[in-house]
Amino acid sequence: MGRVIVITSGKGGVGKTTTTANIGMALAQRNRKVVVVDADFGLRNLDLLLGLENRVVYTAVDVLSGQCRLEQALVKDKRRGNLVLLPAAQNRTKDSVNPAQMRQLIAALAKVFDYVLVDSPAGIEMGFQNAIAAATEAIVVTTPEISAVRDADRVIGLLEANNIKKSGLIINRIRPKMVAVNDMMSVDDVTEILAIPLLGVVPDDEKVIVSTNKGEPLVLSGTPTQAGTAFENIARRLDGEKVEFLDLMVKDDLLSKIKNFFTKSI
Amino acid sequence: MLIELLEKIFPALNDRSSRQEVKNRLKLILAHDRSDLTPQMIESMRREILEVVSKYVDLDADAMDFALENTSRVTSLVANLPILRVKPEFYTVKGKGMSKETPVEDLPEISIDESAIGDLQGTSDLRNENS
Repeated sequence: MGRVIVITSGKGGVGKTTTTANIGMALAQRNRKVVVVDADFGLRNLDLLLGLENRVVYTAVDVLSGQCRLEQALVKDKRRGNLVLLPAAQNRTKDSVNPAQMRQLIAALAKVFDYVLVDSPAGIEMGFQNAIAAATEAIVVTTPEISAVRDADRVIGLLEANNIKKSGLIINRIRPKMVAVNDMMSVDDVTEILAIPLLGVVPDDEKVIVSTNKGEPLVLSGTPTQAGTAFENIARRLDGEKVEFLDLMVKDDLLSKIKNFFTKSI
Repeated sequence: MLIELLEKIFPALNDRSSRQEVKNRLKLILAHDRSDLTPQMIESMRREILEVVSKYVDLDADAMDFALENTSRVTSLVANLPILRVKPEFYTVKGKGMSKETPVEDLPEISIDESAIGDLQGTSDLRNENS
């Protein structure tokens, strides 16, 4: 049986889909058999981030309604054959699927794949309930902003209430320079507040937008990027490896040394 | 004056940094978010707990403290109830004449065998003598 992991956040726009696409691809590069499931019915995006939008024929809803077989709906990535996408329907709403159906669908996938990554929609309503229905683990994505952290906290509570005990935190879009001048919460600030184990820290990186434009996850790019390396490290940690966290802090220059001296002495 | 100047030059000194501010705001809002208790429920809980405790002890009503706290995803009820004194009916050390005593003449007689004094440690010898 493969591991079923839901990627969720509560708040929209914090990077759930980017995270799913990159971790999925990075795990595939480690020769794991991976299926990424878009659970955002009505607002699907995972196909775009993977550059697979033109190859979507059937969706999860077609499988559930018996219009096609499960293997017909799965889109195989040409760059990495062991990465497969199960697209969500774009012309249906989140209420067209129920948790029992999701459990059935994902149970079938977990028999074949090592990892089933479920990209959850924003919010905590039906779409979220569907996404977490079959999951036994969760990745909570947040950014160091008050609204994202508050929503992440709510989601962590709901995951616990739904008996998903194993959760890891990803702090996305951290800006080390802003943290250094006390204008942004640090990784420690956020982990202290949310109190779940840290799985990874991804720095704010313009390259993410470029990779989205191209439909090519960062971890595929030949030239290493900070965010890409961060996602690769997350995949390795998920896979059981011990990997040090990236040192994102800006190097101590003379000014910050003086600053630290004054902070300590007062 | 000097402090203000320093704060301007070194934002790290400033406890009113936006980082500190957002942390304080978050902690407050999360303590509220995490507990599903309404103020009414907390109030009636407080009243009932005080009722029970007051059966046994007198409390200092002015110094009492009763609040929800939230650390590491666990919400706890923290109550500080200073005790002025235990109610007299629950005193554990009783006064004279309060416990019943059996009269000496009703107790079994205790005998002593002078020659056996000193054999106290010889429990095995005792067993041999008996057998």
